[in-house]
Parts: sequence; structure tokens; C-alpha cells
Amino acid sequence: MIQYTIKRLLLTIPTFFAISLIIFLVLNVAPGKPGAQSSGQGESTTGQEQKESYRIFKEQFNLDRPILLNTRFNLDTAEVREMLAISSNLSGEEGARERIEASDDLDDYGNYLVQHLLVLLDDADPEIRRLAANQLTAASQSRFVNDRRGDAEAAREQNREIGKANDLVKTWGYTADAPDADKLAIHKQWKDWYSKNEETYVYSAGEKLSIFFTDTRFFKYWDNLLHLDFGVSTVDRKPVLDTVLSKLKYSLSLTTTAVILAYIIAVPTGIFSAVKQGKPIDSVITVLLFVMYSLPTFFTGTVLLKLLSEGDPVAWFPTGNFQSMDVGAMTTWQSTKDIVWHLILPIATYTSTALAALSRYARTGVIDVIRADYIRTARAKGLSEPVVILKHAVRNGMIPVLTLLGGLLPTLVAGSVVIEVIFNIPGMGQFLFSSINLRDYNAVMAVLLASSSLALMGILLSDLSYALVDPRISFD
Amino acid sequence: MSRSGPNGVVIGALALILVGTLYNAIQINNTEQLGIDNQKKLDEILKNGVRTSGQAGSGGSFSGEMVNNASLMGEGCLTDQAKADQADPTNILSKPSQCRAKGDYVRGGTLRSVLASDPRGLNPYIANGADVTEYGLLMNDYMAERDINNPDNWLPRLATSVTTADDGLTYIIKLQEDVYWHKPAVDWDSGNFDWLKGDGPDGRHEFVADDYVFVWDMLQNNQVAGRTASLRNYFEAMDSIEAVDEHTLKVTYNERLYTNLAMLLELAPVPRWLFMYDQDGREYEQATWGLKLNEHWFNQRGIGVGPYKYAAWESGVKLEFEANEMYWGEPPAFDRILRPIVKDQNAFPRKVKAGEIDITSIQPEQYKTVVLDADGEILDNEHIQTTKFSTLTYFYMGWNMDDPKFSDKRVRQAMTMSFDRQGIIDSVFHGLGTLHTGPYPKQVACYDKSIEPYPYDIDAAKALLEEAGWTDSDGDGIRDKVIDGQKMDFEFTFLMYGSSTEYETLASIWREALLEVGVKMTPSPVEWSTMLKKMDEREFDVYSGAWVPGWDTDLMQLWHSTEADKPQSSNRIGFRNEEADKIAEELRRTFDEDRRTELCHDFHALVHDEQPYTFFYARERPVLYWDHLNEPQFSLNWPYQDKRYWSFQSEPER
Repeated sequence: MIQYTIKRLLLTIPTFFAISLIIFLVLNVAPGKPGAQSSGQGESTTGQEQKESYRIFKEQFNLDRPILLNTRFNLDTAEVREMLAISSNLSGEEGARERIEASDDLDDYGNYLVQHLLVLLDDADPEIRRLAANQLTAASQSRFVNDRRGDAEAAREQNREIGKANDLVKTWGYTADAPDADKLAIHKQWKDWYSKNEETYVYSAGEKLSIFFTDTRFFKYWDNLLHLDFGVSTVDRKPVLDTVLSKLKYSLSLTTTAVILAYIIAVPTGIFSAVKQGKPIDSVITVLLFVMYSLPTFFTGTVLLKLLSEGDPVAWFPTGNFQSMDVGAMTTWQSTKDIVWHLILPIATYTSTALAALSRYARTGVIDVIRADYIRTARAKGLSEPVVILKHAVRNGMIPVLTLLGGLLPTLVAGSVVIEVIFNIPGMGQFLFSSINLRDYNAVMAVLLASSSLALMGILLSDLSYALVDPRISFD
Repeated sequence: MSRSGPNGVVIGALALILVGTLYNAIQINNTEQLGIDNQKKLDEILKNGVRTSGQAGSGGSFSGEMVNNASLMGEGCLTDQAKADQADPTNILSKPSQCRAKGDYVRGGTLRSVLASDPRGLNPYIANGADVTEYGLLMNDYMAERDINNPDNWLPRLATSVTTADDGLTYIIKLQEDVYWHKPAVDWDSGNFDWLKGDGPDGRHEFVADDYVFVWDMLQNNQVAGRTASLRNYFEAMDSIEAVDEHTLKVTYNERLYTNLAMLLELAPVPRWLFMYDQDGREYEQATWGLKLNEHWFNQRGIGVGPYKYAAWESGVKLEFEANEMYWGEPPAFDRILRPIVKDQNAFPRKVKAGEIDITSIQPEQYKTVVLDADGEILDNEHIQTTKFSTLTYFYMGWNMDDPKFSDKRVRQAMTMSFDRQGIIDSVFHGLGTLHTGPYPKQVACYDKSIEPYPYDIDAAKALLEEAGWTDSDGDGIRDKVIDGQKMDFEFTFLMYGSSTEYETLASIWREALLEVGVKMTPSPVEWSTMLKKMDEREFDVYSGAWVPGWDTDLMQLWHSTEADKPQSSNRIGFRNEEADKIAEELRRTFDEDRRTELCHDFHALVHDEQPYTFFYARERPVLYWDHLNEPQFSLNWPYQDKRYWSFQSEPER
């Protein structure tokens, strides 16, 4: 058993890695980019962020790196030349899409361009020479090191040096109408600079191999993850982990209560209808449950709000929220009461849909067992019907229902988007939904990874619980 | 017996612990209650002086002081320093036409107004978004502010006098004295933030000229992203902001542009003593402070010198401001401004009805069910009122002028004429808007009201298309034309924002009308980020859009032909017109108001004739409010719902 558990635990590591890889890929490949303005109805303000600042933004969030594998050291000079030509529309016939792509690529390739741009400084076309020099001012910029972890003082010192180096080369560009002598002087500056820094921009076979795997978004994400750094939100620039943790209490109190409540109601109902199988009362319960199951939560929720909190006919409950706004002036007891009062409707909505499936499982479980030989034996030895059912049948019939709990774990965290939106509960569901809309990669990753690691745990626990509940099952 | 023995002990012990815990909980609860009661009493005493008799309502204590503002018109609500500076005839700033809260009001209480989403931060120089600007204005002040009744006039705020000796290349700005920053919202008791204490009263910092020099430092540092990056374009003509002394600024420009002054006056100060330091009080490196500022630990809170100070922000729950009791200007009218966050906009009327909020704007569909279809009282409550305000936002359909189908202005005019704009405003938007004809908001002098919108006229549209060579030669009901030797049917797709039911209805109405004209249009509703990408890449025939212009509209960005050649520019439609270029350039350097109006009107007429956009409508927004508020006054300029101008008529019953 212990051996099995360890084996399974070890297996979760590659599984988790694979899950993170898939989510990461889907997220990064999906259309749209982070940092874009959200919009109410397609309105836009007339302010435009500067290209330079967007480049810095991309750099900060590693969005300039390739997603999974990096082959940028393999660029050849002709390619770079073409990108320069397209992005500045030298032929005069490039489409907007090609131009945007080319100039985004130039921004993203950064340091990898340096050696090729240096060659292009001697290109036959003066326009290309100018573009190359101007592109160099951006491409030669080194990235600042992260001083949020590790040796902060050393990182600061390093950043001072990097800042100095960056400032030096920042101004070495020129306009088309600059005098030729100036242009040549700048070219010479670049070449002198390059001869001093050449080893930084030319890559050995070993470096190439390392770049291939490590200079990528995915690697950097995992690198941070292993330092327990889930990153910063691209929307509000807060650490994602803090936000997720603050949202957890809302989702957990809603979903755990609802799930427990669903079990408390569903299991007895299921047993009851199993015992009364085929009788009219069983059909009534079945129909009722299916009606509840098929009513979508947004409908149930809105109807409950309309009837019970809007004042037609009654206003017994608040119109949403997790608790009142002025919690500061409440004692612990009052605020607990307040939260319960606010959560009654959302919990009722959540429970009503979860009920049906659970109670069906309970019913089937008991019915399966009721036909078994040992139940007949129990009856034959003269035990009363309640004892037969509760003591012998239910115990075994409930195994599948209990193991379902494992599968429910991730929903406890991810919450329910619809219910959280309708009842305005600021939980994980709401957060996930808005983060997806805003392409907040770090936030989406954090929520999904949290819920998928719980899913893995849940599956493991439910597998193990089989063995615990039913001695006939053994993993050894 | 032997089995129940230990069980009994365990159960007994558990029961004992339970009773003990319960007792403890009750005790703690009572103590808490006591503490809260005492705090309430203390607050009341502090607020009302000694004559208090515990009558405060639960919705926040009221001072009960009636304020009569009738005597405070004109310069009455200016500070003494600003009044004195009004004597200077060269001062650009003028007297206000009214004080903030107009008429009689009751000071105090909590204004509750709903919010549809979390802001992206509370530092208006970093976080983008009109909402952030609005909160910034509650917490901070600009140098000067547009008059609420006449936005062309500038009122003194942090600047009491703005003068220029050389016609706008240099400005000398005198700043208000005796102004103090809010005390930053940090955990002072922990002792970790003693380095943040200033020399002023209660450990505050005084507002000085350097707080504006820091803004200039931010504008110059490319690492500072977000809103500062968008602002940077507008300050390209600026050379420097220097502090002459503690309360005087000198601003120099290398070129005199019309937009210079407005951009300068609408700057709010930023405290260097806070934003140059990390949470432990260590100064940032010169090389990276710009990057650090983007993620500064105080960006989630707010700071300023304004009438309200930051109180709380719980993500997804609420945003809260409280009155700055040491405000240097007119005292704020509310004790608190509470903005509960409600993501489901369908819930807004429900919240008003339940009395959970005092005022909110609502959607057109809600306006119909709640206001238009109400027989009798709105939401069955005589105390709930409604009103409307107009916005600067205008909606349009932009034609891809690089597409041979739409390069002929007759075609574009025909498209506009086959679009029943007034009918759609009335039926789909329930009358919440007015027809729009040009590139300016209706409220400004530049908008030429004499230009008649194109009529909805199917026959005229047909005639125009015939004239432009689009005929139905093969009798399939769709017009066609031979372009570059190829026969082309008149078909196009309408790229539109997908999450709006109003636009779905609108598209199908337009589609029917176009079919009648002999044009096949296919609506293509997409999500915003996809739409943005398609617009940037110019992969559209026509798209639906809206601009939220400022009070002064600079035409270059949207209409100049140089912008048409840049990818990702705002001139996505590829509008190139020599005369338009000339006017746009001249307007940048024209300062005479009459000449400006003349030029704008020419431009308006030109664009109306060319119809690069099918100009659609300017939106009006309906509002529901409880009548314990004075009728809310709306600003012509953003923020339209400027809460500094609102007040309570009577103490709300809660």
C-alpha cells in the first residue's frame, strides 16, 4: 500500500508537468495578447502606448521569448535583412499584418539580432544600414536581472552595470538626413563596441543547446514556479499568488458548504428511492431531481433573487455579495451570521444542481447491493428491514458515492463562475473568468494549476479510499 | 462497560472543551461589541463636538450640518491665495462659475455607487483606464481644472496662477501653499514605515514643486509603462519642468502646440518621497527605478492631496474613500464614498431597489424595462428618480478605404444612407442618443451643428451606387462591378464587437436594408482582443467602433495620412486626404479661437462629405438615483459622474 502510494505520488510529478505544459501552450497560442486595453462596447480612447514601453512590458513578462523551444541563434543575416525591410515597408507594398509581425519579431529577437545587424551595417542599401543601426540601439539592450529573490544587493550592483551599458548604446542611432560623416562615425562606434563585446553575442554549441531549452517562456515560468513565484498579474501588477489566496476563502466557504449539504440531502434521498424502487414515490423523486438538475444555475439563481430578495413577494435575503459592506463594525458572531445570511441563496442554487447526480449514484449503489446474496441472507436470518438496509446495504452501496468526493476537490477551488457572477461573490470563478478575458496569463496559470493539482490529489485519494473502504481491493 | 469507559471519558472531555470554547466565544464577542460601541461613541464625539445626542443612523454618522452654498458663488470657493492671484490680468486661470456642491446640502454620510469592475490599480500614472482617472481625481488634484459648466475655462486648483511671457513657450506656475499630502495608508503601528513620515502636521509631507518635477522625470523615463507611456506622446514638445522655488514651477517647450496647455494643466502631482522607495524604505537604483515604479508596492493604494483619501480596496468587493478632513480647498460633501463592486450589470437596478446603492447608471435595455415601461413609479418606489447625461463618446462604422470597393466616397455615402440610424437609436437604444455627423464631440464648439445628417434613403443609396458603377448586371439581386478586369459582387463583412445584443439587432436591421439596396453584408461578431488584432492588421471591410475623445480633439492621430501608413495606428481605415492633412496640421498651431472654429467646421464638413466613417450616434446614459441625493450634476467632460459635485439633500434612511 505504502509502496503504491509512493509510486502514485511520484507519477503525479510528470502528470503535473504535462498538465502545466498543455495549459501553458493553449494559453499562449490563443489569439489576443496581454496588456491590451479592455473595452466596454468596443470603445477606445485615443491614447497610444509607446512602442518602446510595450517592448519593456514584454521583456518584463518574458513575452518576447519563444514559447517552448528557442531556435533564434540559428537566424541568418538574410532573414534579418528581410525583416528590417518588411517592417519599414521599403518595398512600399507590404501588408499591415506582415509589417506588424516583422516589427514584433525584431523586438522579440533582441540580443540574437546583434551579430547580424553588425553585418548589415555594411549593407549595400543605405536604408538598410540606417535601419540596422537604429535596430541595434534596441537589440543591444541587456535585460535587467531579477532582484526580488536571492542576493538582492549583488543583483542591484549588477543592474547598475547593465543600466550603464544600456544607456551608453541607447543613443547610437541616426535619421535618414544625418550627414554621412556622422553615420560613418556611428557605424565605427558600433564596430568598436562589438569587438569588445563579441563573445556575448556569438554562441558556442553548448550555449546553443542551453538556449534551445532554457531561454523560453515555459522554462522561465517553471524556473519561477520552483522558487514558488507565480508571477505578477499583467492587469494590476499584484503578485498573483496573493490574489488567488485572498479569493480562496470566498470560493471555499461557498463550495464546501454546498457540497456537504448536497451529500447530506442526496444520500438519504438516494437510499430512500432505492428502497422504494419502482413505487410511485420513487418516480416522483426521480422526476423532481431531474427537473432540478436540468434547470441551469443562472436561471435558478436569478429566480431565487427575484422572488426572495427583490421584494416581490418578499425581501428576506440580500441581493448578492459575500457579506455586508460595513464588516468593520461587527463582532465575530454578527459577521458569521451576516455571511450565512448572504450565502443561503447561492448555496441553495449550487446544491440544487449537485443534488441530482449524487442521489442517483447513491440510489444505484444501494440497488446494486440490495440484490446481493448477503442481503438475502441478512433478511433470511430475520433482521428487520431498516437494519438490513442501513447496516448491510448502505455501507457497501455508498463506496462509489464516497469516492466521487475526490473528483469534486478541484471544483471546490475553481468555484462556479456562473453562481459567483450572479451572486457577486468575488471568488476564484469570477477571477478566472475575468483573467481569461484580459489574457492575464500568470493569473490563469495560477488558478488552473491550483485546481489541477487538487484534481490529481483527489484522484489519488479516491483511488486509495477504495482500498480503505473495501478490504477486498488491494493494490499490492 | 470496559469499552464504554474510555469512550465516556473522551466524550466528557470533548463536551467540556466545547462548553469552554462556547463560553470563550461569547466572552470575546461581548468584548468586541463593547469595543465597537465605544469606537462609535468616540467617532460621534469627535465629529459633533460635545453636544452630541446619539442619534446617528447606521449608514455613517451625519454631522447634520446644513450647508448653504448660495453665498459661495463665483470666487467664494477659492482659497485666499487663488483669489489674490485672480487680480493678475495675465493669469490664464479664471473664476469658477460655481462651487463644487451646488445649492443647499447636508454634509456627511456615505455615498454608495456601484462599480462594474476592479480598477487596474490606483496610481493613475501607471494603471490605464478612465475609471482610474476618476478615482485619481477624487484623491488628487490637477494644476487646474475645467469649469464644470464651461470646460473651455480653467479654474485654479493646485496652481493659483499660470502665466506666459513669450506666448506659450515658457509657463510660470505658482502653486498653492499650505497643501499637505494624505498620510499614506500603511500600518503605522508596526514601526516599519517611520521613514515615510514627513515634517508637516501629523507626520504629513508638504506638497511642493518637486512633486511635479518627479512627474516630468517619469515622463522622460521610457521604463515607466502604462498610462505614462500613453501620455508621453503628448509631451514631445516639452523641454522641461523645473522647480524655481518650493512653490513655483517653470515649464518650457520647444514648440508651441495647441494641446500643450491642457495636457500640462491636467497633470496631478506624484510624491517622490514615496514612489522612489521600496517597502523597506530603500531608494531604487537609478538604472531600474522606472521598472520598479510599474510594480510599486503603493500602486494598489492611492495617494494625493485631494478631497477624498484612499480607505480600502478589496478586489472584487469594494473600493472606499473617506473625506480628507485636512483638505486645503472646499470641504468634501460626503464622509465616505463607497463603491461596491458588482460584476453582473444586470443586477444594478435590483441593488437600487433594495436600497443598497444610492445611484447608478444603467444599460439601455434596463432603461426600457425599468423606466420607459414603468407604469407609475420606477421600481415601485416614489423615492427613486431617473435622469440622463450625455457623453463625449461617439459610435461609428469605419470603412477600409484601401479596399477598392470602398475607395469611392459615393459608395460610402450610400452605405450610410442605407443605415437607418435614427430608427435604430429609437428602437434598439431606446432613444438614448443623438445622431452624430463628425469627428468631434457634440459639446464642443468645433462640432458644426448646422451639418445635416445623411437621411435614411434607400432610393438615394441605390442611385449613388448606380452612379459609382455598381449595377446588378447578372440579375442575382446583388450589385456587381468590374474592377481591375475582374467582376466583383458587392459583398462585405461587418466586423463588430460580439458581446453586445444591441449590435446584433442593429446588424440584422442594416443587413436587410442593404439587401434591398443590392448589397450583401455578413455580420462577423468577434471578441474584443480578436477584433483589435484584425483592426491593427487592417483585415476588415468595415468595423464598428467608438471613440472616447477628450475635450480638445487633436486630429492628427485619427485623420492624418502619415498615420494611415503606420501599422497599428488609429487611422486604421487608411484615410488619406491632402486638405484634411493641411487643416489638421494648421489646427495644431492655431490659437485664435474664431479661426480654430472656422478650421474645425471646414474639417467637419470635409469628413462628412467623404464619409470615411459612417458616423452613427453619441450616447446618452440613463441614471437611477434615490431622492435623498440632490439631483446629480453631470460634467460635460470626463468624469461625467464627478462625485465631488454631488451631495445629500437629506439624511438617507437606512
